[in-house]
Amino acid sequence: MMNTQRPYVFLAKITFFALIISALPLSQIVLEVSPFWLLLFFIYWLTYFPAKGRFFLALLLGVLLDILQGDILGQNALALILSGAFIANVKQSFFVSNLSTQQVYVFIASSIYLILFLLVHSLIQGFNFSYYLLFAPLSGALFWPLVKLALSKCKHQ
Amino acid sequence: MQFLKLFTPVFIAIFLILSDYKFSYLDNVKQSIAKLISPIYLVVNLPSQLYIWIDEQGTTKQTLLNQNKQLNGELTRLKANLQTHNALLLENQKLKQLLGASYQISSQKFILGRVSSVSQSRLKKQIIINKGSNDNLAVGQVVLGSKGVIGQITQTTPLYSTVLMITDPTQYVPIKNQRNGIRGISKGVASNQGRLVVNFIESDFDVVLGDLFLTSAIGSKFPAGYPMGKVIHIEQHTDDPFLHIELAPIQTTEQLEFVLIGEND
Repeated sequence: MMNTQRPYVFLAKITFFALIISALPLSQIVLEVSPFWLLLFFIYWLTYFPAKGRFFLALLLGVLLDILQGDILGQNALALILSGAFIANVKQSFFVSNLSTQQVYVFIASSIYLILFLLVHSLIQGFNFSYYLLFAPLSGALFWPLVKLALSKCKHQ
Repeated sequence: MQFLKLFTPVFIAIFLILSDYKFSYLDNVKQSIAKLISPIYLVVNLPSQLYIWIDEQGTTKQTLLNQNKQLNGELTRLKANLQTHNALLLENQKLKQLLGASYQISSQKFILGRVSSVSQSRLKKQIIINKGSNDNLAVGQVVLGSKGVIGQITQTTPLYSTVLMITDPTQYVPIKNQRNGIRGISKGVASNQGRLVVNFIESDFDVVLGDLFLTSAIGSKFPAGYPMGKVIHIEQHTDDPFLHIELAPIQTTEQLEFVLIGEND
């Protein structure tokens, strides 16, 4: 019973931490180029913790982020579900890959996230956004080794 | 089965997007979840609150006395200005009575708030203030700075509120030129925090660099007469019947610490 609970407890902890990072007051440019923190944390959890209902959890976490950031309800949720689905699809390969290959996967997942995020925004509020946002997948890939290291330390505590 | 596991949450997310965009059924759910996650703001603001507290504790008596002297001077100057304002207001009301006009200038009360953080959304330009539903704040209330309009409350939690700024591309504000009353609609620019664009001013209208635009109160979203921005760029295209006007907002978020929130009637 304890073993099945652990992945969800870990997810709750890292979600809280990811939401805090996402709510940190940053300058506009830094905010726009910063990684999709919740996605990075969710990728780690998805890869290293076997659990059920992962897409429903992605929906829940995305909705929390939508409300925290005042975005359209479901915008981050949709992006997180489908980018999470990509990682779930390549999970076996991701798990055994070296760090740089993992960074490529993270870059692709972050790009899927960004495309869906901007697609929803453009359909509802028009094609009007800062182009600095396009650097977010790159920064996500660059920050992946740090996130992985930090979360692997936390996992073993 | 695998298909359902993925596409059920996808369809729920699409349903949420459509219902949030078109209807307001989920506003109460959003408010409840916002209340649940509002402690995150507490944690995020803890270092700045701690810094303010330490700064206040470390302020010397002499600094406080000097500050007090300076503020008293400022208060006297503002009181003198207010006397002129009140005289004009009375005169205006008498003239309105003589003319039999039904329009009345509303006297609005304000609540003082402090800016907790600036912009945590990638696509929206917003600030968080340290007053919430516990202070009777509600969605739609107007937020002002010492120099001009800041924005409008879009979300409240018991302790914090989110203010969508006038520089956000989705925030449309009816405005008028202070010099000649020409009206237009302003909105923010996604790529530039320090710019507003003005739409729907015809190309043969008189607008010059340096003109000040104020809120016009059409639509009653924002009260009339508060400074919005100064004209810094005007462009006229032969194929466009409207002028392309850019404003520099009067009230910026740099060094913005306190805000005034207009109370609802």
